[in-house]
Amino acid sequence: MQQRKKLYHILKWSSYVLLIIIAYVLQTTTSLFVIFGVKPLLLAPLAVCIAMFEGEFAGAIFGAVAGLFCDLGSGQLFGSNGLVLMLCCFAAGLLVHVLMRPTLLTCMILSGGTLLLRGMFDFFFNLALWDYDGISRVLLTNIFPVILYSLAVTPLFYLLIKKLSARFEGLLTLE
Amino acid sequence: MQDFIKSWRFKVLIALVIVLVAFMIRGATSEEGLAGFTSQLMSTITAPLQKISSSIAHGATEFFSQFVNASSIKEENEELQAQINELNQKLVDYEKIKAENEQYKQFLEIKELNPDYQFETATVIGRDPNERFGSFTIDKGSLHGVSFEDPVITSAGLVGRVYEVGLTSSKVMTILDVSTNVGAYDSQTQDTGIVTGYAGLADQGLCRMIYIDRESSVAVGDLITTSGSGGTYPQGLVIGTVTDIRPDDHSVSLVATIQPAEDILNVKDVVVITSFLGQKSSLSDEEQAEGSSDAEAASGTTAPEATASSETTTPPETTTPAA
Repeated sequence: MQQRKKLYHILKWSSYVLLIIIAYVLQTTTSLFVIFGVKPLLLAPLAVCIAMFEGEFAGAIFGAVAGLFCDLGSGQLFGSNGLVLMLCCFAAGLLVHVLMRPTLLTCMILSGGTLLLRGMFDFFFNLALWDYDGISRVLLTNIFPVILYSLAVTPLFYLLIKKLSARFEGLLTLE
Repeated sequence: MQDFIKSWRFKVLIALVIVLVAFMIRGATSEEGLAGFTSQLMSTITAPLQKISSSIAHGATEFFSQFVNASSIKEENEELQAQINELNQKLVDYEKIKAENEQYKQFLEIKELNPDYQFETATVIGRDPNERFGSFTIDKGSLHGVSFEDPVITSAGLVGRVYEVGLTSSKVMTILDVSTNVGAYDSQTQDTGIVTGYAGLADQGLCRMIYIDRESSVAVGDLITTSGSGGTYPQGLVIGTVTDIRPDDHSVSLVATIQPAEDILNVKDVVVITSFLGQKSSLSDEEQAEGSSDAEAASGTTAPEATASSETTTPPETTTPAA
């Protein structure tokens, strides 16, 4: 009985890791999901959804992993997105635990906040701080559209993680 | 909250924060482009998956585009449609092979013109939404001989340079990036300058040439090529053509808008020049020291790549077919 419970735990966390890898591959695949030259960030909303349903600790761990994959794909300072997403997902998990209910609206608010914070962090440290010319255009043509597009795909992750979490929760309760 | 702070979970999270900060410090202080162990491990795991995903996406795009094109003809004649589809498929294969053949012929021409070049062909396997200057990941890494700062080109012209090398994949910074500086000159007028990215133009696939002498005669339509100074890029690679020229708002020089010869935001296949005569990394330390002291003497600066004045006055032979 105990062994089966352990197996379900391993299965659950493995599924999340696999989802993160799949999201990374889809996010970085050329010409996939491109609309008007904009691609969605899949890892950030996915990590927030995991944080919402699995709590602040697991959320922080998966946020860090998702952030590191973001760094890997974008070639930004390795660890910077990891830190930002880790803190955001920790906060998201904590907020759902003590203040909010894990609904789609909550998910959109938390994902939107995370994406906005990550985007502003990226904009400030990679562009604004270096005083490059014409950076406001980057904000309008790249960072904000990416946030909006990523928000549009967030409900898919919400439904997927909700279902997955409930399924494993059911299995673990039965045991 | 008190309980949480005392728990092992909190200690794990603090350890994780320390690890992430350590990654950042290492990334910020590392001078080499070689990715760290964690980064290399992650890219080694994901690069094959990216490659598969990329080829599936290309296949699906081709399939659906064929389907959309065929639907209008289907309405006219179903019988003809089948024949057209069959012929179209053959034509697509033929065109693909023909294009590849042309590409290889062009690479061969570059190779014949520059026997010192060592090439490694590569495919773009990843583009991240965070990258607003068109940087991308290719499927070749240090195991294939790719190293930090190797120039990346296509048959049309210069695309960028390698800025991070993994075992089986590498990241390429394009000439649209604001932190890129390429010593360049106008092949018609021999005026020199620095080609660099500009945030306000990058989304249109354009870049800028700055520090052009106010008295120069650079004009719209002129071809811009690499000067070879600094040893990062070989001399004479086509960068693009001038589409606009005007006085710089912040200095006494001119600034030109450059249309790169290659469609950098949509490039799919590239060639990495792993070695060429005069490459910075291929020179010995003594040679580099001599080279840099010569450049300093000629230009009065310590950064030859950022100095257009150290260029030769004789225009080098333009090596890409687009020239």
